[in-house]
Amino acid sequence: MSDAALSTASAAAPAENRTIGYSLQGTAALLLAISVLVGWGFWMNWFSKTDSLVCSICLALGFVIALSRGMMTEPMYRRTLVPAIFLGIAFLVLFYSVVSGRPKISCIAAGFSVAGWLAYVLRSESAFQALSLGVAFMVPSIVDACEQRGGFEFIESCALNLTSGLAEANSQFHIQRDGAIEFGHGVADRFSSVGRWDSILPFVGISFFCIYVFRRNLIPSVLIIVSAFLVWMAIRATAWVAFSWYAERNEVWPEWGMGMQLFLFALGAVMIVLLDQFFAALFEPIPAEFINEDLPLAATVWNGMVSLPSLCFKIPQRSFDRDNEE
Amino acid sequence: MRNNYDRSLCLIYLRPSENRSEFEIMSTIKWLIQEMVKAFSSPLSFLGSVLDALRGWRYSRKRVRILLGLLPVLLLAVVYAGYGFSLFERVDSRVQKYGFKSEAVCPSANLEEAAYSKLDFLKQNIGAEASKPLEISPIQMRYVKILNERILATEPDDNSAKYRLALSEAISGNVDECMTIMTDVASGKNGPFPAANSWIAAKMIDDFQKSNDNTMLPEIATQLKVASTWPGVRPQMLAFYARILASSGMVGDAITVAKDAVKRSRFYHLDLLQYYNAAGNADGVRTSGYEVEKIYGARINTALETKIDRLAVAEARFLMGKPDSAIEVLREGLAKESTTNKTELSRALSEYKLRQFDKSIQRLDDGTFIADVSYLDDAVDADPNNPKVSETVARMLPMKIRPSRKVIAILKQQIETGVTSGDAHRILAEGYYASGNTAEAIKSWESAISKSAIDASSRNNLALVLAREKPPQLERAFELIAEADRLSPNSAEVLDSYGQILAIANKPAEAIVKLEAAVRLDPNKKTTRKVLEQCYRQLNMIDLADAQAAAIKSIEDAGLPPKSTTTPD
Repeated sequence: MSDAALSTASAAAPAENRTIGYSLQGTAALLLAISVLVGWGFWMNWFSKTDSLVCSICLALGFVIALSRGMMTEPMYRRTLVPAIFLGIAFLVLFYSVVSGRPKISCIAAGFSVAGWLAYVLRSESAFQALSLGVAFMVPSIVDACEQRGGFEFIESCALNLTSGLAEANSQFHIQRDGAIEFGHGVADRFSSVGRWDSILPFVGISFFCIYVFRRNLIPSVLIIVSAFLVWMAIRATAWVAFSWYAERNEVWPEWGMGMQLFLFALGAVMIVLLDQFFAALFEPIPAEFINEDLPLAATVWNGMVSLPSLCFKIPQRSFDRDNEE
Repeated sequence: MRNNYDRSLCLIYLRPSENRSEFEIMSTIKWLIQEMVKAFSSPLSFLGSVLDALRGWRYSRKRVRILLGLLPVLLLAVVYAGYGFSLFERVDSRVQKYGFKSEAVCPSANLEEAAYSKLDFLKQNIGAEASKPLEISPIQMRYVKILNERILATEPDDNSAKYRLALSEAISGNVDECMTIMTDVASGKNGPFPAANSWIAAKMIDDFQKSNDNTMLPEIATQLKVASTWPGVRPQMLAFYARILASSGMVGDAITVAKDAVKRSRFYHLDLLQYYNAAGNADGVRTSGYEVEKIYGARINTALETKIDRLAVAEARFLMGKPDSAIEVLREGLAKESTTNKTELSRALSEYKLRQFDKSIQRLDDGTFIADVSYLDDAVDADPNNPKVSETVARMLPMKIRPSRKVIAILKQQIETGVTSGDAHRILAEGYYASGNTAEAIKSWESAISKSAIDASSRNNLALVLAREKPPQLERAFELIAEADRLSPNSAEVLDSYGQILAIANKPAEAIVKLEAAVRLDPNKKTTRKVLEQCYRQLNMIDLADAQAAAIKSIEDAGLPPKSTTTPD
């Protein structure tokens, strides 16, 4: 059944379908409101930290742009099962959050509520696209879970390892001051893994921004989130060596100010965006004109692979031929 | 439309498209099987389609996008690969690298030298000037700490990194932290590491020399036993270990350890010589004696002469059976104006004379003793303040050898001036008691007690004698025997005296407890059993009393000697 046919069918949808739609959206709104209320303290805490705030701004920008590029016009898409499943999950998670007294988990419920809502509202978009947008609401909870399980400490130790390796490779930078010796500049230590606005979280936010705005599939999305960590560590280590080298040559530690922070953060952001473009170009599907119609297996498998699971479908284009046919 | 394009519908399923509204699994599987059969039945054609797809992949990419994206990839590659992939480096290779680097910056031997030179005990270098402390620059110290902490961050059980860290702590003056780490390493939980035991032993010896606490000696000996297997152990420590062994009666082991010390420093031939002498090894005495003469004698009458040289040579000559020659060396030193240690030389001279006197004592057939008293006069002439003189005179008392008037005058003078040692008073007291002069004996024991806070024997004897006095001085006796019991716990002698005093005080039940303990420690002591028997009878415990009587008889019949006795009967 073609897209046009679907639209026609939606337009002629009976009144009870509209009722179902309204009740689904109402439920989603209610669940979202309750989730936010339950996790109010957690959200406040999340927004109280600079790095979380910067991360949230990146996520919100990506979210808004992704929504503006989606289609939400009447008549509504007839999908009801997937939104119902998402809202069901949201309800269960919210229930668990209230019962277990863990407001953090209500973020997950909020994410599923949004996913359920969007799965109904976003016309002709895949359910995975709705879910991926819902993840934006789940990020604080996921980050907190990682933090509590020592995930960031592990990353910090990896970065320290790399930094010490760099220092090792470039000998121990030091300057002598007042008869005492001071090792390294410690620029690397200013790049904390959590708690500062130039920590790893804003880089993760930028990765999500790229995923939402440039409508990435699974493989480039995973790669870009991983590269956020690699870029953060590389910038931190390189800054350590560069500033230590500068210090050793001039016998004075460089001043650490907002300008330097902004510069390093912008450098990281540019690197992540460029890497995103690179991965996306590598993992783009093969256009139909290059598929051998007699033996399409190889190309089809590749195309399936790079678009699975179909997080983001293409924006539907109206086919004039089909219009003519109809 | 769907019916006409069955195959393309399947494509739509695998290729995301806006047209899909439902899953058609069966037709998809059917299509997949058909395609597989085609691919296998015509592999070359399939290869062609793969090449088509590759070409399609290549032509459909935007080069600018890929080149732009390659820029950060290359930068990351430079950071991660160019700097040695330290993040992905194997832990063992990192440990090895940091280990080598740390060793190159500051060798362990230098660290040890600097750490050991902080100990006063090791500054006393036999036969040589006191060594100056070796300084390590703060940069080296900091570097050593950083590298070893880094090793320990990945390998927390690395003994050598811990050891180097502990040494650097010791050099920085953080003794407690150093000892904590060293104790951990020396415990051997991560394998033996005798260097750590050596450090602990050295620190303990240093503390021992300041506190003189004998209870530390067993632990020091335990640590030194392990430390002696380490090639880097200091000869001073081995010499100390040998002294502990020799004082415990293990002269053979002491000789082995002293030989080890000699390998590290030839000046320890002097110690070896004394152990050979104690073991009665004439060959050993001769060999070591010649070595001592060679090593120390070479410096006598030169600008390099040290205080110990003449004493060492004299000792060697004396032990090699050339007392006159030994005395000659000392007299030569005393005659020289430039000699700075005349007191020590005259004390040594006095002691050689005393040893000659001891050798001259002979027991005649009638049970009397004779000796050449002129040696005693010479000893007094050499050093009138030598407390050994009074000890020797005290020992002469029961032998009934009369010293000269001069010696007696010196003895009186020593007693008045308090030069006499506690030992001398003890021996004197025992001599007086043996000759029946209880009043003088009590005086001497009191003097011995006042001079030595650890003399359990004098306290024990005096307590018993006071309890036997008429009337008995029980209060003082109890006070003394309690002190003796504290100073020498689990001693059969002390427990026996305690029991006897309690029996005199008419406390048979309490006496039995002490006496039974004494009997357990020394079952062959008849006096203890006799008092015990009396106590049993006093309490109407006839069976036990009879059993004791039988035991006494069997000891008398078998002629078994008691383990030791110093208590007056």
